[in-house]
Amino acid sequence: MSISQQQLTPIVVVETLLELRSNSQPNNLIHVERVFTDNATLLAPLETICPKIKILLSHLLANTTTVMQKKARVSAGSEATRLHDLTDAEAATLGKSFKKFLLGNKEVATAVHAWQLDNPILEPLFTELIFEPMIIGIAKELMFASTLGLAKRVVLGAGLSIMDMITDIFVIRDYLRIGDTTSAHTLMAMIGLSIVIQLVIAYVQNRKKSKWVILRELLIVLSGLKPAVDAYRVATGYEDELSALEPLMDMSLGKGAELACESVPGESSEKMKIEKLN
Amino acid sequence: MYITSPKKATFHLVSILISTLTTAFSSAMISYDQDVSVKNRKKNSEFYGYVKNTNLERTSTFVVMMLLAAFHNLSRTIGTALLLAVSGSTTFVIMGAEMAFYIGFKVLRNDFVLWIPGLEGALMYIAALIVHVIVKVLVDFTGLIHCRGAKLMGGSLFTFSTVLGQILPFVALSLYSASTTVENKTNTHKMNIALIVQACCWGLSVIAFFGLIDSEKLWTFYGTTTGAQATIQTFRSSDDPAIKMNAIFSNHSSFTESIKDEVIAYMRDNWAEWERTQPAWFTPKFIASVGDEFIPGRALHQLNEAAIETGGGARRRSSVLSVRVILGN
Repeated sequence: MSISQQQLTPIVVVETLLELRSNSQPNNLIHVERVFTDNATLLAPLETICPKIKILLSHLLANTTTVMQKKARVSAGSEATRLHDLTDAEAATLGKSFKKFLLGNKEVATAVHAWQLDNPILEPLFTELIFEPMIIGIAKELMFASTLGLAKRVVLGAGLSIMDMITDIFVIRDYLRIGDTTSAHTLMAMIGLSIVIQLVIAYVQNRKKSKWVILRELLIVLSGLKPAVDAYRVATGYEDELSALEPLMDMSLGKGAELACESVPGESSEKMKIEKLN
Repeated sequence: MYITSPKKATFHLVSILISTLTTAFSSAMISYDQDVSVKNRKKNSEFYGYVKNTNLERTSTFVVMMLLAAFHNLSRTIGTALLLAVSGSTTFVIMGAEMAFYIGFKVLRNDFVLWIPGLEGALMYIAALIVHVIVKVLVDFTGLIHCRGAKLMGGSLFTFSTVLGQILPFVALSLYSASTTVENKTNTHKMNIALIVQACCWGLSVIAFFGLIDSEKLWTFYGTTTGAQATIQTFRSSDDPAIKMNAIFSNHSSFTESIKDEVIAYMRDNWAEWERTQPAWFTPKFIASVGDEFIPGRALHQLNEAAIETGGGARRRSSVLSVRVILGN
């Protein structure tokens, strides 16, 4: 396929933009300028609306610095005029601010939406059909690339799940050691109920898939790694036609089951014990 | 062991705080994530979107939601612990009565059956009972805001339950004070003061929360709409075929039984147009989820013929639970 043929889809533009992306903003700027020149037909409307878009994108792609709660301070006028008259510093602020939305939201599309809502000045850009898919495409890649993005979520999710499981086992062991079998059995029942409900959810979620996939999903629940897998799927926008639920709903359900079956009864039991001890 | 530790009071306090904050964080996160989700806001803009737009507003709202859940959780769990200290049977009677009231309320309003399509017979009632019990526990102990949805607890009942959650610890404390069976009672006067302070903090959090959220969504906290009524309302109020069809086919058939003729007429008038334009939502998966009675005769005939040609006999309707079903709304 020739370069000219490649030029006309947003996905190709995103791929090209990400190809030489680095944490260095000046390097990104050179790269973005080249992409805008090579894909002038597709990207010229964006530059017409916002002449500083290349600076904005170069900072967004660098994904290194977040900025404090500070709006781009621009001249008065309609959103279109303000965006057109953006200064270099304002464009940099807008680009840099993207990272905090990416870190603060579970879904990439929600992060982009939050960035858009927090910066109404960007509204004219979002009216261009190519802009939103382009930013979502970049955001997905940044989520993977950032040390504080996907890796943090998955490692933290997995680490906390495993720690939670280990502490539960230790508490049960301690209860049994001091002869408090009622508490040990209650805790075991609570954990068991939570796991059973999560297994049912996993089955409902995957019931149209092959038995091996169902088995894999059930094992993920049993291994205690479900929160980490959920974090990965939500962050990457995992989609599967055969899944009954979207990843965010799947994750919320699992958390809800854990809250209702483990956390809440555990807390009441803990407070009662403390009251008795006092 | 902490039991013999001389620092047990501090340790216990820290332990309670950590448990409460962990629970509150999870509860607030579930509600927040569901509300800011772009997909949810597109799907049901009347219900989702109480969290405002700017980053500062969003962060503040999340923090207040967490505080709200934490104070609610503290008061409810302390109340339950006091009741348990008095006696297991008293606890069972009070919590059982609350649960019975909730289930009874749902049944009397013809709002007991879940929205999940495809559930029939005994399974329909068993699943409803399990889900309602879990929802009630989540609302009572964590004030999970998402559960105020018409298909889960409903706005008015949600608010009633959360207020009741603030009253319970005082009732429990009076039972605890009056009990002659509890030995070495904790200082009830101090505990009463602590509960009052906590209830005030909860009240302040409520005021802050309602001050922060979008006032257009306030009705979702006192609305009396049932799941079926909300579904019909969505179908009738939207002009978007995708939302209309989602309302009908991602909910239990009993929800829209009363407007079935209206739905059939709407689909008869539009099916040919959808076949011609092939909108993004008009997928084979969607068509498979539609009952024969909703598809115009000619189109149904064609679908059956196509299925026979591919060697599968007449077209089969999908029995899969629809997308977006479990959390409702």
